[in-house]
Amino acid sequence: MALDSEPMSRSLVPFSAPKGGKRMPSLKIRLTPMTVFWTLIIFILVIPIVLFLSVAFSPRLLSQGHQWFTLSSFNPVFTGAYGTALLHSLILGIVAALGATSIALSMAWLVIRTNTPTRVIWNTTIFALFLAPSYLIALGWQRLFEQRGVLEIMGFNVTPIRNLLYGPVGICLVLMVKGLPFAYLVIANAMRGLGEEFEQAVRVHGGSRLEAFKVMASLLLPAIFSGLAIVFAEAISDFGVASTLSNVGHFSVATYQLYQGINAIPVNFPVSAATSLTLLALVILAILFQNRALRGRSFRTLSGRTRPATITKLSKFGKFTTSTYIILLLLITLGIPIFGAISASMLQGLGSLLSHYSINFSNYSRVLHSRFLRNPLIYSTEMSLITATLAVGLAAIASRVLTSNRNSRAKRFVDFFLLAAVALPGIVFAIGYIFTYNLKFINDIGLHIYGTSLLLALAYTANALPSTSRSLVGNMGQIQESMMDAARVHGSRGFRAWVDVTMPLIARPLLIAWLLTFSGTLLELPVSELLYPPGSPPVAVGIELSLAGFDFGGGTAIEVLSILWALVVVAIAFFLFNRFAPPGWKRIGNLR
Amino acid sequence: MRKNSLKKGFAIAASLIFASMGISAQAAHAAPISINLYEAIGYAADEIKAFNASQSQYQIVDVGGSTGPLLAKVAAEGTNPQWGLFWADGDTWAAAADTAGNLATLNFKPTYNQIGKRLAPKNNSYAITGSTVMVAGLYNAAKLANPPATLNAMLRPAYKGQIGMNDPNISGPTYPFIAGLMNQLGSEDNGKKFLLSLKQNGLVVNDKNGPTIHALEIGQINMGLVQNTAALAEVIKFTAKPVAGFTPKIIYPGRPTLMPSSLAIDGKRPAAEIAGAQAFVKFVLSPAGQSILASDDGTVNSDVLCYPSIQGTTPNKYVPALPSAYQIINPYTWGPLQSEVDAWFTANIRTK
Repeated sequence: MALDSEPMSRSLVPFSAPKGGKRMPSLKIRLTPMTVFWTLIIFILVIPIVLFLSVAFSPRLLSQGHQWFTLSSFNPVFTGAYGTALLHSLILGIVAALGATSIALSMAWLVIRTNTPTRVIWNTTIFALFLAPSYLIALGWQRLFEQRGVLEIMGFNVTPIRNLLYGPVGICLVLMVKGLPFAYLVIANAMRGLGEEFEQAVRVHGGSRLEAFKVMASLLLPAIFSGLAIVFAEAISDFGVASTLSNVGHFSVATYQLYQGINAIPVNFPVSAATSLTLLALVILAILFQNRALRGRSFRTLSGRTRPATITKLSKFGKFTTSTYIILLLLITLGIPIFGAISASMLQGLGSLLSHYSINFSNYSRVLHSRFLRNPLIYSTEMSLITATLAVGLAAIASRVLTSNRNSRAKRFVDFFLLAAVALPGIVFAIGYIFTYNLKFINDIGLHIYGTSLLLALAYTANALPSTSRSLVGNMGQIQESMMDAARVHGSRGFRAWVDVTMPLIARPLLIAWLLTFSGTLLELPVSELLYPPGSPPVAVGIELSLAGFDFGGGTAIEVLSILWALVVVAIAFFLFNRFAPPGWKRIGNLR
Repeated sequence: MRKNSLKKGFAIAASLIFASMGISAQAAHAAPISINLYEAIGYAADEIKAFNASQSQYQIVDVGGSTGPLLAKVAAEGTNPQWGLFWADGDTWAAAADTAGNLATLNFKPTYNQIGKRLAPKNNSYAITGSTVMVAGLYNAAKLANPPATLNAMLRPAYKGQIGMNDPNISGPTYPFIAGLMNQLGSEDNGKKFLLSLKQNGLVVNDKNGPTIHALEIGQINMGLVQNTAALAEVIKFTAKPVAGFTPKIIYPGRPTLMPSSLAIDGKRPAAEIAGAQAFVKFVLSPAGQSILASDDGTVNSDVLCYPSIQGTTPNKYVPALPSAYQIINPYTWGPLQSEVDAWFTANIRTK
């Protein structure tokens, strides 16, 4: 695919299809924020997921076969080979979740509760981790450890490590790195809202520092389990690593079969749906585990009287060891993918490290005029801004539902569909959208949103909602409901009460959730590829088209430029928050 | 949050569907008539630009992507397709669509050259816009002085652990290679036996062309079985900037398969759109459309490195001569076997 100088033309795509004809009959149902929330959840999550999964039992329902009811789609799923792959995915998911969450907990404590000198670096670089696709992380590791890789050129014998890397250990490592920022933000947000009074109470009553830490950890359980669940779901649905390290190491994972069904000619959606159901079964197990662990306990610690925790003053040795730990972690999590991206975008050819290769910026100067960069990046930025705003609004409500004591059925409903959206890989999710919004019946009643930016924004939102919601659950779980009741007693109502009481307590987590969603959406590929409006490709599609034309250097250069652009947006957002947000909004969780 | 809200949500979801009856959100067809082209061809954007500039009646809209996801999109659209034209490497997908009765037959007879005539469907149900070779053996001549020239030679101990190929489940063009292998060896079973022997001789499987070529560059393998356009791109790159210790060259072991690029029209679209799609296909196969193959830069757009299928077309300057022996497989015979062969590959070749 050429990277020529002609800007990619953007057709005039309606954000929503133009309206016309009759007015909508007035609805007698009162439109409250909750009814809008449930309506959106049903339209953007429930119906697409249910329709896609129904194909496993009834291919004819959506013109994917001749049978109204069959279980034959499950035949490949119950073969020995797939059973092994599923077991591999389960083990990888558990190990990645435990590893990422443990590291995230230690990092959150170091960054928020100590004066370790490198905490500022971590805070400013965590967003870059969100932006690194799993294949780029895998690529960085490969560049280091492969034959004629950096370490071999430097004279190290890395064959034993390479054998480990191209297998379960390497896959697990990459999945852990990919899951780390999710777990970190969830736990860090919750830890920021945890005042020091609980630790002080333990200490006053003669408890040791370790016992105080245990109390703190138990109060963070909702956030920890949220982190575990989201990393687990992300890990079992990942395909970027499955197609690289797993493929090279011949270590089968469950998502592979799913893609096999989709890539087959003719496409076999029933088998893919049956495979997705097995992934969902794993997620249900995770939810059951989470619910069982948290049942009947309260973790509400965040109130108007919450005092920021005291920072633990580390000794010189403590500062040195913790800084070494953080820097080492940054090198592993961020340094290696950055190296992968740079080696791919600045070296000639496919980015290999053969001798006499020159390092230069020619790929960058070339793609600045590429039709795959400018307009697609502008379009992706617009869509990411809309998606982040919509997703954070919905996530604030969803996380409230998830942490509420009052509505266990609604809570389980939201919990299941949010995690289902994670467990289903993006491409499957996008197909569910096509099944739903391209139905002749839907078109016949005048709803034409397939092929518009509106549907893409809704799909992005649904795709982002699980991680965005999970990032807020920790904080929402800490807010004492009596504060809202008190506000209402004093005359503040509904949304106003929420803005006055809750908003100041979760302003910073909301900002972080917004940035998380923005960053994650900017380079999203599977949903973009299947749902982008004709003539208006997002930047991820531009990158994919460059790579498809064997322009590896050019494609990766566009990717690096897009990541830099996202980091600029993150920096601007933090600047605006620190400059203009009311002081009260910045108090909880502010770094000192 | 309360159960009532959940019920209301359901009620609104249902009522919106019914209440919006009569809301006509579909844009009225205004001139020019818009036709979606789903494509995975590197120079399609230039063809679209040239066609749209050449007339004002039709507007071709580009929906670019990889072949796999685009085919998944078409399958998901089911009985309500949104594509007017589909253009991608291979012809098994086109044959499947033709068999299902989904294509509009071309309303003109393209002036195919000898290759085009052999690749084109007898019923003229889709157009052949060019062809590539599956597979080329891209090898490092600096390390492998005598590459295997036949299929059986690849099984010799001398080449143990030195040969790599792509996974047909991920790399679309790799299935035609495997089907061609089976065709050449006389049966599906013989082809499977050959692949098992190749595996026993240390075959390295990567997902697609890029990683297989990278494995060659770093010395993990010394010969990669890849699409000839990918192999050519590598040769062009290293001919321009030679590197000591790495001299990529191409050999064709056995009789490789000539794989066409196919351009098909959705027969279920309104007549006016089909007429526009026919006009576009005619343009692509016209001298003006074919000239793009020669004028586009083959060093950054490997899809123009194909063998033309139309009489009188000048190929891109980087396109070498056809291999001395090649075969063409019947997509109507081999297409329906793809799911089974791919699954077999996963179970027997890809996994340990």
